[in-house]
Amino acid sequence: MAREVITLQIGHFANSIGTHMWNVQESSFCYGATGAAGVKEIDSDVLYREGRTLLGDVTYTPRLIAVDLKGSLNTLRPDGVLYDVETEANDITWGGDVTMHKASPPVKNQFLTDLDLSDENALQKSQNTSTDTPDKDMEELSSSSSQTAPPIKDKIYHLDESVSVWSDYLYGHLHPKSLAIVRDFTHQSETEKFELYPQGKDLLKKRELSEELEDKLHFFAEECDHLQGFHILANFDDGFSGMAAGIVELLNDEYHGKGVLTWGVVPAVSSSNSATQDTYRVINSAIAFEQLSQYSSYFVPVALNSSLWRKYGPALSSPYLLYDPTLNYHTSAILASCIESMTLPFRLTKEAISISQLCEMLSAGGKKIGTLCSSLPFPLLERQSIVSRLNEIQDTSIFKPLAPDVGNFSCLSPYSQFVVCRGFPNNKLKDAVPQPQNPFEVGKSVDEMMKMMISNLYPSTVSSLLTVSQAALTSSPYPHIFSPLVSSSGLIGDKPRPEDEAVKSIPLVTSLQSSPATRNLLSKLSSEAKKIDLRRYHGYFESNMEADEYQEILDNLDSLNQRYDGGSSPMEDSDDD
Amino acid sequence: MSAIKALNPKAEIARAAQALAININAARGLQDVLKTNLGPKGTIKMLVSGSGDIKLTKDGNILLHEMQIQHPTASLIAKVATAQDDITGDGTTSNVLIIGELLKQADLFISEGLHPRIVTEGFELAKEKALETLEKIKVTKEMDRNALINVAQTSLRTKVHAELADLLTEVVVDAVLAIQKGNENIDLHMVEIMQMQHRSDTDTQLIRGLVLDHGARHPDMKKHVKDAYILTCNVSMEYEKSEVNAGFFYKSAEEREKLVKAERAFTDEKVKKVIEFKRKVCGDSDKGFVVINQKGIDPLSLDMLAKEGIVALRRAKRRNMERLALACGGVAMNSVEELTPDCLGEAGLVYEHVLGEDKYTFVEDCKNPQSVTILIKGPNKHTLAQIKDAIHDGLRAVKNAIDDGAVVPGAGALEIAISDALMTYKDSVKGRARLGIEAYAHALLVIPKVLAQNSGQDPQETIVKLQEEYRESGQPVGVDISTGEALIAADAGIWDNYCVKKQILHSCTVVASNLLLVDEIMRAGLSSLKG
Repeated sequence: MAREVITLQIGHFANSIGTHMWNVQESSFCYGATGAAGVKEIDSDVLYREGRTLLGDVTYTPRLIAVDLKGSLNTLRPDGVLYDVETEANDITWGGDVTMHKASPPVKNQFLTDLDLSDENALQKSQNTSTDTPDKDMEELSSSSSQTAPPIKDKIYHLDESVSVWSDYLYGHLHPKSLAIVRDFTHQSETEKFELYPQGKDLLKKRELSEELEDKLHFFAEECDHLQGFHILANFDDGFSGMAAGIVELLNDEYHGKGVLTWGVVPAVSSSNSATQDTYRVINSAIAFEQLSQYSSYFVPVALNSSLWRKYGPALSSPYLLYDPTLNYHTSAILASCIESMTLPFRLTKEAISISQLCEMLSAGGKKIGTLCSSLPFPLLERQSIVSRLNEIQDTSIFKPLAPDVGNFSCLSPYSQFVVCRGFPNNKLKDAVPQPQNPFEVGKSVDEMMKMMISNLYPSTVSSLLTVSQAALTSSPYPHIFSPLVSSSGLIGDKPRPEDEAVKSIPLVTSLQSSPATRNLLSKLSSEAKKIDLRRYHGYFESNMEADEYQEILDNLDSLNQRYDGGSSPMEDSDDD
Repeated sequence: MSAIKALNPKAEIARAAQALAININAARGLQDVLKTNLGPKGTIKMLVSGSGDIKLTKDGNILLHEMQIQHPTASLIAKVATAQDDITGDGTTSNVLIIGELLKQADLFISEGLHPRIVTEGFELAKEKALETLEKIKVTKEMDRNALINVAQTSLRTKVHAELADLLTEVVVDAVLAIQKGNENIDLHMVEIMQMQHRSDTDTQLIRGLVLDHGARHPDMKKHVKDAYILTCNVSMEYEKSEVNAGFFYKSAEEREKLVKAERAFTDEKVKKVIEFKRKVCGDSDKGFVVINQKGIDPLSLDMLAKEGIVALRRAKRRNMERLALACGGVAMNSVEELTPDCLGEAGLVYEHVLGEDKYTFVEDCKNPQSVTILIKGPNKHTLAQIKDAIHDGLRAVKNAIDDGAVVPGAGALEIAISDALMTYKDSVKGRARLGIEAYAHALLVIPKVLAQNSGQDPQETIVKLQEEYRESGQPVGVDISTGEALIAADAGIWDNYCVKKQILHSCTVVASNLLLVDEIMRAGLSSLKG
C-alpha cells in the first residue's frame, strides 16, 4: 500500500528541476510484460496516480501541482493532451461575427518532435489493431518508422541550444489539473517583473488563484487513502517565494500533521542586473527562509553557488562535471538527480519511512533547515573494485555541499544525516584477490561497506543510510554534463568514452544533513538583510508589509540560527513552533 | 536640452506635442482593438495560443488580460479598465472606448492651440454635469425578479448567444435571489460555480443546493440517498502517527505494535461516536445519513461507516463547509464529542454522478437553501470557460442592481441624454473651458455610435436620428440594433447598472485628464541602457 505524496513545484526554476525528476522516474518505469524480474525496489505509486479519461483510457500521471507564470510553457498546453476529447472544430454558437487571432505555433525541438511522433505511432498502432481496416500505407509507415527509430531515451540529443523553458524537455504527460498558470505576470517580462515576496503572497489572496489551487489540491488529496505529506520545490528569491510561503502555510493549516519537505531552489546565475534587484533577492530570501522553515517540517535551501547574497559565488565544480552554469537545463539536472535520490527513503516498496519521519529524524532541536550534499557522480573507478576505492577515501571532501555560504564545509561534523547510496554495481564489489589489510573487506554488501565508511568519515554524527541498487538515470533528455572520462555506466575510466555514447546512469551518494554549516548560511543572509533599509523599497509596503514585520522576521532568523550554536543545544528542545 | 540628458545621455525623451501624440495613439490603438466587442452584435474573438489552446471571448476585461501590452500608456489604460471590472464587474470595453474618444476629441482642440489644462477643466465641469444628469435619468424602482431579469439579460446578451443568454439570465437571477437575506449585503461567494464537461451549453442549470466535485470513496456506500441528514465536520478520521517526536524510536517490536494499536483505537473511537450518533437520530427510520468531512477519512474508517449505511465524503473544500451549512442548515462540527441533532443539516436528495475520473455529489432538495450552485455544462473547455466568465458578470450585474436600487436605460440612451445635456450646459459656461465640455459631449457619443456600427448600421445617421428623437420625446432613447432606429430603452427592457455607468464617468475623466496633462515622457530606466 503506497503512502501517497503530492508534489508541488512553485516557480520556473523549481519546475525545471521537477521536470528532470519526472523524466528520470519515467525512464525507470517498465510497463507490463517487459518488466524486469524480481521485486520492484521503488514504488512509483507514491508520486504517481492512475486516472481515467472521459474516453475510458487509463492514464498514469504525477500527483503534481506546478505553478508558473503566463508565457512560460512554450509548446506545452496547460490542459495537456491526455484528456482531450475530440469535438467538432466549428462549435461556436454566436450570432455575430467571429474573428480568429492565432498565435504562430512555437517551433518544437528535435526531442519534442520525436516525442510527438512516438505518441502518434502508438496511437496509430492501437487504432490499426482495433479497426481491422488498416490503411496499408499508414501501417507500413508506422511500422517502418517504429522499427528504425530507437526508443527516445536511448537516443542522444543535443538540446543545449533549443531548450529555453522546462517544457522543452518534458518527457511524460501531465494531468490537466497539474498546471496552475499565474495570469497577472508574464514570464521574463520586461515591464512588470514578478520579483517581490509580497507580490506572490498577494496573489494567493485573490479569489481566482486561491480557489484554483484549492481545487487542484483537493483533487489530488481527496483520492489519497494514506496521504503522507507534501514534497515541495520552490523558488526562494523571486515573487514565488511569497507564494510558496503562503501555500506552505495553508498546507500546515489544512493538512496539519502531514509531513512537508520543502526544497528552496535558485538558478545558478542571477537574472538580476541592478543593485535594486539584488536587494530584492536578499529580502525575499530572508523572509522566505523564515516562513518556509517555520511552516514546513523541514526546509532545505539548495544552490550550486558557493554564495548567493549580493554577489553570486562561483558555481560548483567537480573534475567529472563539465556543465554550463548559465543554462538552467544543466544546473537543474544536477540538482534534480540529487533531490530525486533524497526522495527514495519515502518511495521504497518495502520499509519506506514517511516524509514526516524523515523530517523528524533530521530536525531534532528545532533545527529545521538542512543542507544537501552530494558526490555527483560518486567516483568509482572502472578498473578498481568498490572495496579498494572506498579504502582510498579518507575525508569528506568528496561530498560537495549544494548550498551557499556553508563555510569550511568538509571540516564540519553534522548533527545528524540521512545518506542515500545508489547504483553501486554489485559485480565490482571486491577484487579477485582479497586484501586482508583493507578494513572494508569484512563488509559483505555495498550497504555494509558504506555504513563503515560513513561512520569512519562522520564519527560524531547520527547517520542513517539507505542503499538502493537502482542507479541515478541520466538518459535522454538529461543534458550531457559529464566529463568524457565518465563511462556510459557512470564509472570513471582511464580513457574518454566514445563520442557517440552518452552517460546512461551514474552511481550517486547524496546526504541530507542537519549541519552546523547552516549557522554560517543564516548569519550571512541575516547580516546582508540587516544592511537593507526596507523603507527605501516601496514595493514591499504596497501589501501592508511593515518595517516592524521585517525586523521581526530577521529576529526570528537569528533565533533560528542560535539553535545551531554550540553543538546540540539541549535547552532548545522544548521550543517547538 | 533637458536636464536628464545631461545626467544620462542615453535617456529617451518625448516632449509636449510629441508626448501627447504618444498617449493619444496608445489610447486609440487600444480603442480600435476593443471597439468591435461592444454590444450584443459585437464580434466574438477566438484566441488560439501557440500551443493550440482556444479561448472564446468578447469580454473586454478578458481580452485586456490576454493581450501582452507593452506600451506603457496602453497598459495604464488597461489597468484602469480592469480596475473598473474589479469594482463593478462590467464596463471594461466602454471604459477603453470613452478614454480613447475623450483624447481624440481633445486632440482636435489642442492641435488648434488650446492648452490641455483648459480642456481638462472643461472635462471636470462636464463630469459634474454628467453625474447630475445620470442622477436625473436613473430609474429608482423596486428590484423585483422582472427588473433583475432585464438587467441580467442586458449584460449577458453581450457575452453569449441569445438562447444561452436567456437561460443564464434566469439562472443568475434565481441564484442571487436565493442567497439574498433580507437587506444584508449579498455575498456572491455563496454561489458555487461548478463545471462539468458534458453535453451542451444549454444544459447549464441552477442547483438549489450544493454540488461537490468528489464522491464517496467506498464501493459499498450508496450512490443515491433520499431524505438524508447531513453532518458536516472537520475531524480527522484517518490513522495518524501521534505527533510526539520520540515516537520514532521504539524499544521493541511489541512496543511499536502497541503504540500503533493505541493510535488506531483513537481514530476508531471518533468513527464510533459518529456511528452511535447516527443510530440515535435515525433510529429505525429510513432516513439517510451523510457525513461530509473537511479532513481525511482512511479506508478502515470508511469501511466502518459503510457497514452502518453511512455515506461519507472526505476532504471537502474549506469554502464549501460554510456553503453546506447555508444550503442544508446545521453547523460544521470541530469535534465528535458533543453531537446533537441541532447540528445536522437536511437534504431531500443526495446522489453521485460519475464522469470519467471525476465524481460529483449533488446535495439537492434543501428546505431553504441560502447557498446554491450554478452547474455549467458544455462540450469543451473553452465553452465552459466562456460561460463561467459570463455568469460571473451576470451575477455581478444582478447584485449591482439590488445594491443600487436603481438602473439606467441602456442601449446608449444614457450617453445620448448626457451628451444633449452637456451641449445645452456648455452655453452657460464662460471662457474656453466650454470647449472641453463640448469635447466631452462628443466623446460620450462613441458608445451609441459603436453600437450602431457593430450591428451594421450607419453610425452618423443613427446618432442624428437618436438625437432628434430624444429632443422630441424627452424620453431616453437608445439604438435598436436590429433596425438602427431609435427605441425607448425602458420599453425594450434594456437596463444597465447605475454604478457601472457612474464608475465609468469618474475613471474615464480622471485618466483622460491625466494623460492630456503629460507633457514629457522620459525613459531612462536600465532597459534603455541595455539596448
